[in-house]
Amino acid sequence: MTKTATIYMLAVLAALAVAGDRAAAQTSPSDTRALRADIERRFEVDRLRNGVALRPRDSSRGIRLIEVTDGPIAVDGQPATGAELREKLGAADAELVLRLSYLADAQRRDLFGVDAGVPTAPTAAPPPPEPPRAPRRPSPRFRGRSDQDRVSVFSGGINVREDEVVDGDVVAIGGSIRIDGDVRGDVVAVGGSVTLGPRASVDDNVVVVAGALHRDPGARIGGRVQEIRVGSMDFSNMRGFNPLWLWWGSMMGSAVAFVGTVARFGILCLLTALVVLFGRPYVERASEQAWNEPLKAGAIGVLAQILFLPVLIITCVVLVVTIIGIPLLFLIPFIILGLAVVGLVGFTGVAYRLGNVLASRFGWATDNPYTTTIIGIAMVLAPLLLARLINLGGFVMVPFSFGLGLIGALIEYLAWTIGFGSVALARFNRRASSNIVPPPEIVTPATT
Amino acid sequence: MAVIAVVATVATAYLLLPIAAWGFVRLLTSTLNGCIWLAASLSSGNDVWTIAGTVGRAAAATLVTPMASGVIAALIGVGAVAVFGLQRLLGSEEDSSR
Repeated sequence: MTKTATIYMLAVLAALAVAGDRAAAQTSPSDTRALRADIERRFEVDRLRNGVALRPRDSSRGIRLIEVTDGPIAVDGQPATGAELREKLGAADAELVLRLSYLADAQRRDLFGVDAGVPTAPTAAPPPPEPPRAPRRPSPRFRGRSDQDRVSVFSGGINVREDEVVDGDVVAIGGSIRIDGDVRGDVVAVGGSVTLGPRASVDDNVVVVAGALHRDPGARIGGRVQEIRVGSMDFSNMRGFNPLWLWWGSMMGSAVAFVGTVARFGILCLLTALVVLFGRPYVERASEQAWNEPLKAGAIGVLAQILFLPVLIITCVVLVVTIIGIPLLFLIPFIILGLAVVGLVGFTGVAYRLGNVLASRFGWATDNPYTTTIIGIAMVLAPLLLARLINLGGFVMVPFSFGLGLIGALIEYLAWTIGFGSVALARFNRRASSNIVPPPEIVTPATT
Repeated sequence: MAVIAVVATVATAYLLLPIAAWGFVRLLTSTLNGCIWLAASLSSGNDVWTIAGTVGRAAAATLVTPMASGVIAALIGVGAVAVFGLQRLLGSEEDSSR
């Protein structure tokens, strides 16, 4: 249940992020003519493919170039926040740059476009035409041009040669990318590095996840650069791996997973003990429902999970669109927390019942509800724990442990789902029984 | 039957994995863009309601696209089916309790 809630929270974040993404393009200028005049008084302006480059006329601050594109503002090639801009440029110039950055891409292009109908300041020289590139020798391997995306998934790296033009994206997962030619789309590396040579040209974005970006000063990037570092992960050298190293790595990974599962078992024991302490009547009702109608409770649990995502997304969308409802978005984590608590009560009920069954089967005298619940949790997690234990033998044990782990995950999912449904069933049963009008009492006349 | 189930699972995974990868990268870039835009808006002194208004208008503009409308319609459809199922199950429970 908590895992599902986490996934759904990511969905909300995605919805908000898309809205934020679009919002960046919607800020409208108050007076573009005045803005252009002010900017041209303070900066020399060059047009870029997706924005403008500003060169301060006053060089006393040591700033050479400010790039205002649809990505973050870059000062001398480095992304800068509003505060850094103020520090580097001074408040007045930074304000101009920020106002320019709030314009939509098309507005920004129009503002300094030739056909804007705005007189150009006499000091602003038109940007010199880009010198034509020298004709390139066709590559013997790629014949100079490839019209499709270049994608590599754990199959080594990608090399775009100097005389090559890729009319699409270059994507490498678990591998590195070296660009010396032209890429008309994005360059994305996940778990590998990106190297841009001196004549490299990327028209759109460069995204590096869990890797490093090595960029020659002569390399051109038309879009924005996004580096997401995850510790020191770099899977770019997948080709020359050592099997012993892989074995050792898999054993270490399995050990971490085993410890994680044991820790989860401990945390579940603590949380369910709290639930038993404060809500034993609920736990017993849920336990009864789960035992009497497991299929129905499971179906209700699955339907509730299916319903959760649409309700969450539509609620978020409605709140965001109405604008006044945006502050209410902060309540959503609490609602998810409440649902997680309901799931935990249900899971505790299922574990409690399983513990009771197991204890009576083996003739253990356990009147203690805490012990019974912990026995039930151990029963639910046993296949997964066993699979993790087998995995400690390294990757060679995976064929034996995979099925067991799958069964363990399924059992745990069923326990949570049936538990959630049983709480709903218990709640409805109670409400329905409270609606029942008791039959009138028949008063028999006293016989004398 | 088991073979069909395995083949169906593999086919579904094969079809959904590229979409999931695309969605993941898009989620990352969009989250970064949204955070950068929010930080820039706050640092430039915009008040909360101006930012909220811009976000709301952007969300509304996103919703009028055919893809977003389709996704919302699909979600409403799925939600309606789930509500119908829950109503049947819990409603029958309520009836049987009476």
